[in-house]
Amino acid sequence: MFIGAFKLKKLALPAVLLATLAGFVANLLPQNLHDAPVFSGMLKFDSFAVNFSAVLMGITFVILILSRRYYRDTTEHLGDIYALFLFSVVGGMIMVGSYNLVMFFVGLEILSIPLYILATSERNNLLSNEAGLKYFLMGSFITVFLLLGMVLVYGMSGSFDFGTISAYLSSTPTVSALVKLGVMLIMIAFIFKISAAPFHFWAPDVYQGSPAVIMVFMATVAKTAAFGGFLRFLTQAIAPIEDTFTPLIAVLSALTMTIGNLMALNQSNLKRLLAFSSIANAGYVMLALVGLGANSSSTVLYYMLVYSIANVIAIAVYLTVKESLGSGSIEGLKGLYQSKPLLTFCLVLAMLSLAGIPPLAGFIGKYAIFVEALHNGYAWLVVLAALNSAIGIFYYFKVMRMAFISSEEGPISVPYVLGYAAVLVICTLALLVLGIFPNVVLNSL
Amino acid sequence: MLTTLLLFIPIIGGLILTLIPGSSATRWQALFISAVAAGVSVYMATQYVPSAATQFEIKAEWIPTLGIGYHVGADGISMVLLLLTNLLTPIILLSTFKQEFDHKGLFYGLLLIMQGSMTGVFVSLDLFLYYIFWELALIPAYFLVLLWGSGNHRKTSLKFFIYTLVGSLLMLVAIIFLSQQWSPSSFDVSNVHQVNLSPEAAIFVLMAFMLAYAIKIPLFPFHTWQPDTYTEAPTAGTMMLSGIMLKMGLFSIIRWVLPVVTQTLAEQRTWMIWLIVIGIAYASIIAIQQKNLKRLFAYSSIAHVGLIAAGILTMTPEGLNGSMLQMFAHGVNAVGLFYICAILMDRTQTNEIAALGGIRNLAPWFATTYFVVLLGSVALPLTNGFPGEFMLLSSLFKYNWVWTLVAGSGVILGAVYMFKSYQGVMLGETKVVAFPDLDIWDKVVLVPIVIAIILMGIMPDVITRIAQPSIEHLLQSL
Repeated sequence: MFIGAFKLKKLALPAVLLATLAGFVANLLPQNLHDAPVFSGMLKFDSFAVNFSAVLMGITFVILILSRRYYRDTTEHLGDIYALFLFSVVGGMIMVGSYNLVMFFVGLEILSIPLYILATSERNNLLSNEAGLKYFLMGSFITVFLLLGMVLVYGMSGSFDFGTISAYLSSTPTVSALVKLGVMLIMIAFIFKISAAPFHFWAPDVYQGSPAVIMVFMATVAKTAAFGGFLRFLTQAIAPIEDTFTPLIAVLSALTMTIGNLMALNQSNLKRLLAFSSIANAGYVMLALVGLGANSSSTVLYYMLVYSIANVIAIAVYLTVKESLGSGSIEGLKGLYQSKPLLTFCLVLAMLSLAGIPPLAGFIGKYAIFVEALHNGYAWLVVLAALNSAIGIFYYFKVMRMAFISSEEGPISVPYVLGYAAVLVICTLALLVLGIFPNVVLNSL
Repeated sequence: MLTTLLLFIPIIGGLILTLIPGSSATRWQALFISAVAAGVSVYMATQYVPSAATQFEIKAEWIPTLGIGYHVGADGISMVLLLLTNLLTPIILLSTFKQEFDHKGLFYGLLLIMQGSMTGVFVSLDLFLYYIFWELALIPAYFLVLLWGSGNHRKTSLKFFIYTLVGSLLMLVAIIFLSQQWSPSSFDVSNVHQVNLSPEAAIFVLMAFMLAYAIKIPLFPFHTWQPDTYTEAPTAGTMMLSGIMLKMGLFSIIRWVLPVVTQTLAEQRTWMIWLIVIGIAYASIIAIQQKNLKRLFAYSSIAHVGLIAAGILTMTPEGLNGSMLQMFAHGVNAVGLFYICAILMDRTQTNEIAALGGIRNLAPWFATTYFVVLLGSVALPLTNGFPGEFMLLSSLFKYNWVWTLVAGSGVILGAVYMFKSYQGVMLGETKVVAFPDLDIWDKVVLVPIVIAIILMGIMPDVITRIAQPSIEHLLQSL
């Protein structure tokens, strides 16, 4: 956080990257793993929290590399931006590690507030300002729901502690409607954060308006953290009455993926398309939440990781192209294959993975999720999700096809940019490895 | 080990080729990789002991959490198709050597990936692994049509992809369902073949699998993607699709439907065979009307593969042996026929029968090879089409002579449209200005095909010897 004060632009990136890496390694050290809550029962670093944190930091790491190049002209604030990224990811880690509603709330806010600022970080861009304001207003409004829900749950159970709440719920034969209302309100906050229907309206505008690196941060890190927190809340705090909410989640999941996929069909702006794709993907992940089994957590983790990597690749390709052409439309990808086959290869892999085509990692993730839902008897939902995946192919393939259509102006010249290329190499390799050896993550929890 | 080599030599080689920019050497590199795989497959065939056992087997864990294993191996049935795939691909690659087109690296890379993934379909003994290769074969096909197709190929490629993918997705649901019959879930062939299903579940599994295969093969009435795709795809793509890829569907019926839902299939097959034989006659009648040679061959392909599928569904030794023979023969003939289209296209810029004529006088070599391929395709005795088609028809005859009558009329009509097209293209008044005869590259492709057509006609037991023990074992275990 003090990096900004020194204004050492050159040193900032290595320092931040080192910090992230150090955090990543420290996080994975065996000493870090405690099954008992720490800090007066506020946090619990079980394998769930550790693995989610690792994913959050890993993705942040590559996004930081992207942002170095992206903000190359923003000389005075670069350190602040890095600091905000780091704050935000710390918030995410608190969320997935929290064992107490208050701590959870703090984590959510630490995650969100830097994002509000980051969304407006292109000060001269009106869309960026709009995105930040919209996100801020909606986000703070939703916070009210979350707080009210927490108060209700606290009022009935007498504690913010996940363990106590869970014990209270399992010892009470008839859970009062107030608790259910409270849980419901808390869930609204989650549904907003993962941009699931019916609280998804902010996502397209905010994603489109925000700077691309922030957009991808919101779509990947923030979302993974929100899903991690959601899972933790469901499994640790309200597990005894979780069944009550399963039908609701199932219906919302169906709605979310259908809306996301149908709306994505006609988008011509890549960021907006990815926003709707991210809504659709939130719907798929919710399939894994409808009935929690032993493998749910690792399935969600794997899916979010793979989805995040694919998104980062798409954005990195987009940025490379945009830098020389300056267009945000997917039409801008035209002729890419003629000049940059390798870049196109990365894009194709990312799109195929997002579309869930075997043998890419996205398919295995989707498959694992389908199996989870089928285990719990939601066959109709799985069939719907399968049909939705077929719809998804239309728009993911549209993006892919653009790259192969030769443009009217002849081959476009897109120079490779070191920062982006490095990210592309790391992410593409990670995507391939995860597809061939999914066990690395699927077995981790 | 050999199976793994056979699988990954083309896939990895293909991946590398797609990433490097094409040059004049690319085609030779591709041919080399493909020929190595062909060599491995021939070596496997010589090492293969004709018995019912699965050979060259490898079994390892892949994703144990989901019960998925890397289990590959070859029995006689897969061995025949391995040979077909890996021997035809080098010929298909050779057929493109004369052509000039963009992005050679990607083109040859995709063809090689297709070769490897189709091999994967034939050797997989784990249902999940099988599904992955099944889909993997589709991606290169999509790109081949999209990037090098002609006419309305952008739309066609997407139609082709979505059509086959919808079928596959339903199959995937059935695959998940099958794997959940075991605890912990398992996709292994030994388990899948022993599964016990309630009648309703069995119907669902049968329908989901058969729909995917009916689309892929394609069988009437799910064939509507096929004529457009075959016509608009680049010739090498069409050869891959019709020569090898559709055999994936036929093979899958034998491997994953017959032993799994035997009883239900036996109850339901009557209407299926009816649909198929009607489709044979239907496709033949449409083929007669076609004015475009490539489209005509596309429809004739529907009729031919329909007969194979009907023969498999009879579940008799004649039907299955005939289907193996005919699958091999159809693959060879299809490559020959579509190469003839490519030659005509190359020299006259048209495949319209009405615009062609009298070429025989100008190109005797071409006329002779075309005629031999044609004879194989109409199943004249002593060509490769005859023994297979004869066995298939006789297997149908044992159940219902009306089927044989309808399907047989398709065969007769086949002779009609094939000879009619030959007449239109090769005989009559000479409409084309100049027509150079086959050059060395054409001969490299067509001569092996002609030899194969005649050899297989005289000695069909080259194929049946490999497949027969496995087929008998399969039928006994039903």
